Amino acid sequence: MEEAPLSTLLSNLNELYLLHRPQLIDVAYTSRGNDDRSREYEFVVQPSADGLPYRFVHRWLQQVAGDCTITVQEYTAAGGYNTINSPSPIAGGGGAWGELSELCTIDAAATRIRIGYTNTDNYFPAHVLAFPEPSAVPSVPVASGFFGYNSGLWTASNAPCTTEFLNRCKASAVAVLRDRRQQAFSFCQDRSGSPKWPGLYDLPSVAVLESVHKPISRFRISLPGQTRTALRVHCLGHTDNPGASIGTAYVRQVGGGDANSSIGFILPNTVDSLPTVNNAQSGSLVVFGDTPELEIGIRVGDATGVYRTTLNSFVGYWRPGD
Amino acid sequence: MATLASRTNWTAINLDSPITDEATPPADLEMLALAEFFIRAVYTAPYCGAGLIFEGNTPGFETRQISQVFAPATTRARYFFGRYGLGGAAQAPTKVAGEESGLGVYSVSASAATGTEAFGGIDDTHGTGAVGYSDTEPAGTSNADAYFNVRELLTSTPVSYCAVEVQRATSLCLHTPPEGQSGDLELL
Repeated sequence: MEEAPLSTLLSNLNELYLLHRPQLIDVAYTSRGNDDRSREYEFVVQPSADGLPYRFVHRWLQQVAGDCTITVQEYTAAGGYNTINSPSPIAGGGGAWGELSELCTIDAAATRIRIGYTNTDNYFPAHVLAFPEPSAVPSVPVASGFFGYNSGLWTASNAPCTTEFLNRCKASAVAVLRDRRQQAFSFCQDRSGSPKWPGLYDLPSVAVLESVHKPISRFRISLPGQTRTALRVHCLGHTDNPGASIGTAYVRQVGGGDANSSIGFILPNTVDSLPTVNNAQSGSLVVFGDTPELEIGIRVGDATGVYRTTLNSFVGYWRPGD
Repeated sequence: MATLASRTNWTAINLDSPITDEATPPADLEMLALAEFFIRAVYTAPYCGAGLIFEGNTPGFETRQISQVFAPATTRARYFFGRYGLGGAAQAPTKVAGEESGLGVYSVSASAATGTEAFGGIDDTHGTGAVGYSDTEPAGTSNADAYFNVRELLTSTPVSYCAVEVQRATSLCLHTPPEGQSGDLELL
C-alpha cells in the first residue's frame, strides 16, 4: 500500500477535528419584550471533553435605540459560575436586529450555561447558537479519544504503513463524532424576575388565554439517517407549592414510540440556586424514525389555581451512535 | 464516479471495532476504503436538525431571527414549523425566510392562514399538501418549493451559519433532506 493515500487520509482527519461543527447550543428564547429589564437564560449543557472553544452567535431585537450587553457564564462544580466571554455594550438603533459573534471556551466539566442580557432600553432577546470552533489540532491524544496526525512521522521514503495509522482513521473520526454532542431540542425562558410564563396553571377548561398557557408545544426534530436514537434530556424548573413537589414536566414522542419514548420529571418545590439547590432533572428518551414528532409539557398537579409550576428550560442532546 | 456525502445510520454499524486487528496485514485497498469512509462519513454527516420551541404569537414579537449551522456539502434544507391555534378567526400565515452571509440566498414559504388549528398543530411543509406559498423576497427570486437554500461549501466555516427569520410559529426545525446534500464532493 502506498503511503501517500493513507497520509492524505490522516491529514483529512486533522481537518475533521477542526471543521466538524455541529451545534452544541441552539436555543430560541421565550421572552418578554418592550422593556429594558435584565434577563437571564440558563440550561444544562454537555460540552466536548476537550475543552474546546465555541463560536457563540447571539441575536436580539433592539426595539428602542440603546446598548446591549451579553454575558456568557459556565457552571462547574469546582469553580461555580465563571464568565467565559468579554462582555461589552453593543449599540443598536431602534428596530434593528443585533448580532454578536464571539469565541468562548467551555470547560469540559461545565454542566450549565447561563446567558445574561442587560440593556439601556427596550429589547427582545431572540436566539443563541454555539458550535465548536477549534483552531489547532492537538499534538497528543486528547480526552475525546482523538489522536491527531503529524506528517513528520513519515519523512523517510518507503516508511512502513502501520496498522495503527489505519485504525486511527476510524477511531479518531468516531471519537470526534461522539464527543461533540448536538442539540436536538430546546425550550428556555427568562429565569430572572419576570419570565414570559411565570407560572402555569392546570385549568378545568382547555381554553387558552393570552396570559396563561397550557403545556407547551409539539415540534419535530431531525436525526438524519437514524432509525432508533437515544437522546439525553435535561429539565430545569420548580413548583411553588410549599408542601410538596407536585409539579412535573415531561417529554414524549407523539406516535411511533415505545415505553421508553416518554419520560417525566418531578420538579422541586424550591428555586434552582446552585451550588446549594440543583434542580436539574436528567434522563434518556428513545425516539424512532429520522424526523420524530415530540411534545414537551407540564402538569401542575393542582387544579385549584393556587400553585404554579414554572419551566425554566428543557433541552435534549444527541450523541451519534447512542 | 461521484464521491458522495454521507448519511450514515450510526447505530447500525460497529463504531468500536478496529479496521484491522492484524499486526501485519496484507496491503488491501478495502482497508484504505474503509478508513476513508469513516472520515468522509463523519465530515459530511448532516447535523441534527434541532427542534426549537418558543412563543412566537404575541403581537409585536411574532418575528425572530435565528442562526443555524449546516454540515459541509449541504445544499438545501427543509423545515417543519408548529403553529399555535387560537381557534376561530383566520390567522396570518407563518413565514420562514433567510439569507446566508448576505448573499441573498432566499427562500420564503408561507403557510395558508388557517382558523381552527388545535394547539400544537404542525404544518408540515416537508412535502406537498394544503400549504400555499407566497411570492419570494426579494422580488424576482424563484421559489419552486419549500426548500431553504444553503450555500454549498466543502467546509463548515463561520459563514455557513445562516440568519433565518421566522414569523408566527411556536416551533421550528431546519433539517437537511437526502436531496439537500452535494451529489459529488469532488465538484465543490
